[in-house]
Amino acid sequence: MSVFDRFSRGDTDDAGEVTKRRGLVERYVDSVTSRTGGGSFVTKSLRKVFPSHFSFLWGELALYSLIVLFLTGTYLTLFFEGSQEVVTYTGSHEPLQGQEVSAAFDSVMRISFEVKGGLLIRQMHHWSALLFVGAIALHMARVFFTGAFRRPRDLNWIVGLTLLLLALAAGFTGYSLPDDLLSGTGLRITNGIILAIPFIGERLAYLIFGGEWPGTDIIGRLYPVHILLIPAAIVAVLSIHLALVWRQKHTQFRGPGRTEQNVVGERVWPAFAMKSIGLLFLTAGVLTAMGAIFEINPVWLYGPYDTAAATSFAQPDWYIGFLEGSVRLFPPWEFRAGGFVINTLVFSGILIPGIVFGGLFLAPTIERRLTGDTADHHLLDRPRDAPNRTAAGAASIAFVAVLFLGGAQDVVASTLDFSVGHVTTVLQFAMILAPPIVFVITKRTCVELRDRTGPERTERRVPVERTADGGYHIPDDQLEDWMLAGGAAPGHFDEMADHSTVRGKHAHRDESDPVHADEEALDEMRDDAGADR
Amino acid sequence: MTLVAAPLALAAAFGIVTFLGSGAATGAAPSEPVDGAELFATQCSSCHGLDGLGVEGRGPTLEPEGEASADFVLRTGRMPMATTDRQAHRGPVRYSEEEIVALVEHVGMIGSGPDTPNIEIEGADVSNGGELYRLNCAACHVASGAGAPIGGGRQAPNLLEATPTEVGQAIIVGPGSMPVFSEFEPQELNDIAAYIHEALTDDDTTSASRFGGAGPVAEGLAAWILALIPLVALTRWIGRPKDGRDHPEDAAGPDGDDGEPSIDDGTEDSELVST
Ligand code: HEC
Ligand code: HEC
Ligand code: HEM
Repeated sequence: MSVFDRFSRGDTDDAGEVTKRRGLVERYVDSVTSRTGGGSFVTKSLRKVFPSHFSFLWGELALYSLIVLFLTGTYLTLFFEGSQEVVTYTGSHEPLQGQEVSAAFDSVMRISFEVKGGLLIRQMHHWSALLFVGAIALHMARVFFTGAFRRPRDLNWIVGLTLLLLALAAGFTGYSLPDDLLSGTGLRITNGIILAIPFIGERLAYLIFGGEWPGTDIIGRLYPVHILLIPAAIVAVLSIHLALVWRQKHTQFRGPGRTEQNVVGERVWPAFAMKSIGLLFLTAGVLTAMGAIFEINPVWLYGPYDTAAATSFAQPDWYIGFLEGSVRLFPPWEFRAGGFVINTLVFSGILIPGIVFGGLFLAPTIERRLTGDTADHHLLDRPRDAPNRTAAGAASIAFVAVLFLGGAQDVVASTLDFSVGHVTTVLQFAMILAPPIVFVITKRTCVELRDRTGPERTERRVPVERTADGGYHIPDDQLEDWMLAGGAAPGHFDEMADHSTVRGKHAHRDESDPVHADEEALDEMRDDAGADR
Repeated sequence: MTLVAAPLALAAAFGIVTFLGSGAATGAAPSEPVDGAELFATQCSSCHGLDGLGVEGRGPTLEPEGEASADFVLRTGRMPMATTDRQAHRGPVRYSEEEIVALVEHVGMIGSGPDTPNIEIEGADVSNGGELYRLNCAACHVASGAGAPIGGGRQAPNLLEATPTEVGQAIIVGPGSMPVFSEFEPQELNDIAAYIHEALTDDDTTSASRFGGAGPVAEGLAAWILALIPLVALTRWIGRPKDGRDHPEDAAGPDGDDGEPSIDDGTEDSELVST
């Protein structure tokens, strides 16, 4: 008995024996399950259906960048030293020879210039971090704009957001490890934000950094967090995330034959598995090419962190850009409240990110409150079908995008040849004005698109033939179309039913009735499609 | 190259071409001796005055300037300026060698500023130059030398075109809104010039492209444009069903398999129960 028996429709001989020769993978899987049992679970898993829409692959894209991150990161740990002990650089990069640097910086220089393949792996690791968060962002946008986050997947939306936070934390800690001028600049801002937390800030900063800025401990502390705690947490939360996807099934777009109760798409085996593995290779390939061709984070230019040194264009990686922007754009407000100073960093460093993530976590709840829709949903909306949600999402993206540009205000000014001051002022206004403007425009666009009857909304018409005895008949070659149209155009079905009752209520149960015969065939197909309600 | 880098590269290419093509410029034939004062009167006095003490609203006095300053502005094509309201930019050199020498000498007599330092990058301490660069210059010119805006609509320019001598001149002269650095020893000027020339301009540390040295913003843009968007395009290709359409035999009940319990009926795992 093979777990693949049920995959081989039409490949049986007269005696019902499967005649198709098994492939290598199939034979291995069979050889394992024949010894371990669990064949029915494996069969079930392999027969799982995935909707075929390209946006459903973006979660996979994040997953595969994560795999590249883990593999390259492991190589880096073999050579990295998480210590701020001062050493003299004596490596092969002449422009830094003789400089006093930390052991961490020294080891990154060694990885870049002495370790075989070190620079390639280091650059791949950094590129995959950027890609990872980018893929998560797209994945999240897909989930949001199609309404996949609604009940019952509101649970997984929250799990997913936790993953996003972990991904940001992983990126930030990784960026800080080389102890170069940029990592130090970022850590210094972080130190400032922690200090600004009312009441506990000072003690907390002292605790985390092991004393006053910059101290000598922080790299050594971030190292285990970056390579152990956060990856372990990501694996744990990701397992929950994927288990929930498995358990709750995929959502799907509306379409012929698709209902709230089924999933139409491709089986895991072999179609989806092949596609997914293909995507893994493509992702790894693109990242390898990036690492080989394009320089990223040239720490030898930034030099070791030195409290007296500075460079412009000192930005964090793009996914922390919104926080940098919040800090750069916020006016320098400062209040006193009962002996405590509430400075601008409380707003820009704590309040704004708090609002952004609070909004994301609460999105399912807010939508439920506003629409009163507490039902489960497995069919997705097109963005235009929910103009308010789409507009709110677009407005939030606009807000975060303005923050991001604020974090890159000097690069923007330099690229556009405007003054930094003007760019900053424009962005400060945009921070307030862009979201409502984007909301209105998006909503209008959605409503307009929704009300336009495009070709995708036309129902499929299936010719119905009148039979000699007054019954109705659907030509064989139209049968499948009719069946598929069943979900989208029940009107035709009712029409059929009405006409058949002309000949008596249960006329269609008559064996000789051609309509009935066809219906039986249809029933079979519909059963097969799991389309019965 | 990114959006940021492309214009830089173009500008660089343009600069080099015009630089090469500008040997024979305006004015006198090479054999004739050039009169600096006369040249200054025709070329510069409209803004700096005949005596070089400035013209209100057009150009500053050249009293604090000297030969280094004049040589720098003429060889980088900054002077004569086209307009008076904006920062002077590097541009095509307008004068022949003789004319430059004569003008420099003339301005040197007007002003009290320093002479051109003798920069020798051979044998300089590049590493020390790097440290001085990161402490004193990177805040405006960026660690990579890419240049950045410094506020008030002014730009600290890209340094990759400057010759070692121009670097030395810029440091002691402080052109435009760049501060004057008078505390450096001559050897330190050599070190900084050597660092800019050897570690930034002639950087051969990696064969990889640097995206104009604009740092993490450019890298983030590159990650989206060169990795994420192509991969999304690839998911479009991969994600398409076999012949562009899903097949009914590939539809499954809510548990992803035919004949399994639906989500709503609450039944736990049982392949026997069917809907
Ligand atoms: C406060 C910001 C600032 C600092 C610090 C600074 N510069 Fe500048 N630098 C400028 C500006 C602005 C210009 C353009 C001057 C002009 O308008 O002509 C400039 C021009 C230059 C030029 C001419 C570039 C060209 O190609 O025309 C060189 C070379 C230079 N700087 C080198 C340095 C060095 C070396 C240091 C460190 C010792 C340094 N600068 C520090 C702002 C700065
Ligand atoms: C269109 C008006 C104009 C003309 C013509 C002009 N200059 Fe200038 N010059 C200026 C202005 C304005 C400044 C101040 C620039 C700045 O601050 O960046 C300046 C600055 C200078 C400086 C000081 C550089 C510095 O920033 O420290 C020197 C030296 C100089 N000019 C020499 C000359 C010479 C030599 C000529 C003739 C070949 C000349 N200029 C022609 C307007 C002019
Ligand atoms: C560590 C990063 C993440 C990885 C590796 C990841 C991976 C995946 C994968 C492979 C899927 C199934 C395929 C798909 O629907 O695209 C999925 C589904 C899902 N993810 Fe993520 N994800 C991550 C982060 C997030 C985030 C940040 C959110 C939202 C805040 C999120 C919410 C969801 C939801 C709701 C589903 C179910 C969607 C559906 O069935 O329609 N995920 N995830």
